[in-house]
Order: sequence, then structure tokens, then C-alpha cells
Amino acid sequence: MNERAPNSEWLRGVLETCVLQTMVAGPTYGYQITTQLAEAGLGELKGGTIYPLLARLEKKGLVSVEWRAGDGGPGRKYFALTADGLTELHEAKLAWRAFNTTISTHLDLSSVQSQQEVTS
Amino acid sequence: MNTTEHHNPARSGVSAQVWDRPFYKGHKSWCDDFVMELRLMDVPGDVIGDRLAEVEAHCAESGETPDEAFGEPVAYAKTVGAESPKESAGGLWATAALSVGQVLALLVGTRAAGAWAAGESVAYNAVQVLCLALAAAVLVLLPVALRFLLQRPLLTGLPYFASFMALALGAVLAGELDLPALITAPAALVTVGLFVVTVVLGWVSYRDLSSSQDPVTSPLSAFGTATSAEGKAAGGSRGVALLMAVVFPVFYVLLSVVSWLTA
Repeated sequence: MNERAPNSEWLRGVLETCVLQTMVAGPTYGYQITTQLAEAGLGELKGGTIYPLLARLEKKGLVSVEWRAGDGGPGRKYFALTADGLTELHEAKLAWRAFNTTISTHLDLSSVQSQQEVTS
Repeated sequence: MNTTEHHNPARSGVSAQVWDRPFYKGHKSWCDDFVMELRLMDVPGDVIGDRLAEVEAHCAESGETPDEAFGEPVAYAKTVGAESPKESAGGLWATAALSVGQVLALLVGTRAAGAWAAGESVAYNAVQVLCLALAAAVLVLLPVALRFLLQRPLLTGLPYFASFMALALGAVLAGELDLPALITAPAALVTVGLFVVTVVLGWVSYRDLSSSQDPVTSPLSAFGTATSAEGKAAGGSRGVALLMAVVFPVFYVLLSVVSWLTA
């Protein structure tokens, strides 16, 4: 696996899609989203990045929100995908796949050896 | 699940206002700057409370301070405020228009009382009318000036109020100039008429101030971790509304009496 941290410029364009994906399994809250994205290898995302993005998703009607009592904490704001959010996520995935194919073809990725192949 | 829930603070039986939360008290400077910027962006109180509750909940989970997780408060407020619903800024402009009406009625009406005592009619020359119009313009621009007044109270506040006072004083002193009267009116009619106007505007401002409190409420209070101080706060602001409503009519009477006696 490439250890280089994800390029923040690249991430910016797909972060919304990545956040929507964290809600596929069910409603989730801000801190858990940052943890999940970090585990997925997207790096440490700050609250200052995630919550304005979640507010934008809510404004667009892609997620619904609900405050619930938290485990020992003050409370948690849960975000869930709406029907529009699910459609948006599906379309974004298709668009990403097409974009990925275009770039990979252009960069001629099949000719590039992975790091593992280089070191072995 | 639905869109943002606007819960009923009264139901929880504890104060819903964010100021009563320990988190607010613990990070007062950050929270104050954050709330003030969102207020200036015309974000409604319950939405501000919701944004602040996100910060509180996130910091409680991650163990970070608001500064560490969200950065500088004003910059973060601008970012998250851009994605938040806004209420129309009409309320602020209506308040500014009301105060302009009250101040102008006070300036013109109490001077008319002096003319009434002296048995003259009220007369304004062109310079006086210009000064009054400019003084009104300075007051009308209060909603625009508010951000600067709050950020630099001394640097902008002093020139702002000094220019208003200079124009108001100019309107009085320019009466000594040997200029033809632009506007003439019966003094008794102006004095009594503008007093009625002042009382009516005072009543309107009381009604507006006491109905549009828009407190910054936290959705977290529904889970009952705050202490109660709500009744006191609401009572306090109703008192301010009442004071704002009666201060102009009271001053009108006092200044008219002074104007009458010194005529």
C-alpha cells in the first residue's frame, strides 16, 4: 500500500461522496465519520472541515438529521441518507469510476510498477 | 428521521440557552466570537445553538478544544454560516427605522415646544433640514455600521456618535443663521402631533422587541445537562424592551418642559 497521505487537493472533490458513503450502513454522527474516514486511509479530518460539509449536505436535502442522547457525552447529531442522498451517492460513484478510468488511461497506469513490485 | 428538529425547550424543564451550558462557560471567548459572527450573518438563534452543539458534541468525543478541532472561531463561523439558513435582516432595518423616527420626533418636537411657549410657529431653514436629514442617514445606516461598532467600539463608535451629535446640534444652531424658512408649521400641532408619534413608535418597538427574542438555544438541553436560568433571562430582556419603549416618550416630555421653560 502506498503510505503517502491522500492529496488534499484530490480529496476535496470527492470528500462529499466519501462522507455520504459513511452513512450507507445507517445513521452516523460527525466524530464517527471522521474516525471512519481516517480508518479508510483518507487522513485526519478536522471538525472544521466535516461539519460545514455536513451542513451543505443537509441544505441540499441529501441527509436528514436528528439529535439523540450520547453515551456519556452531551448528545449526538445523527446524519442519515435521504432518498435524494442515496441517488446522489450512486451517481457520484458512476462519475468517479468514469473519471478514474479516464485518468488511469491517460497516465498509462498499467505500465507503472507498484512499490511492492519495485522492492521485490 | 426528519430534517432539523426544532425541539421545545419548555418541555425539557431546563434552560435551553447556550450561555448556561458548562461548555460555553469553559470556552467562553471562542464561543462568544463564534456566536457573534453568526448573529452578524443573520443566522437564527436556534440554528446558532445547533452549530454550537455540534462543536460541543464533537469536542466531547474527540477530547479536543474548539480551537484545535475547528480553528479560529470567526473563520469557522463564516464557513459554517455560509451553509446555514438565514433569517431576513428586515428586523434590524425596521429597528433602525424606528429609532430614526423616534430621534427625529424628539429633536423636532421638543424644539417646537419652545416655539409654542414663545407664541411662534416652528420654522426650519435649508441648513437645518439638511442637518436633520444627514443625522437621520447616520442612524439609518446603523445595521451596516453594527459590525464595525461591535469589533472596534472606540475606533468607530466615537466618530459615529460624534458625527450624529454634531449634526443634531448643527440642526439646532443653524436656526440662528439668517436664512429664509424652508418649512413652517404651527408649534402646538407639531409638539402634540410628534408626541403621539413618539408614543406610537415606542409601543411598536416594545411589541417588536418583546416578540422577536430569537434566543440562542441548544438542542443538547433536551438531554438535561444544563442548569436553569431561563426565566430570569427572559424577564430581563422583556424589561429592556419596556425601557426602550418608554425612554423616548419620557425624554420627550422632559425636554419639552425644559424647552418651554427656557423659551
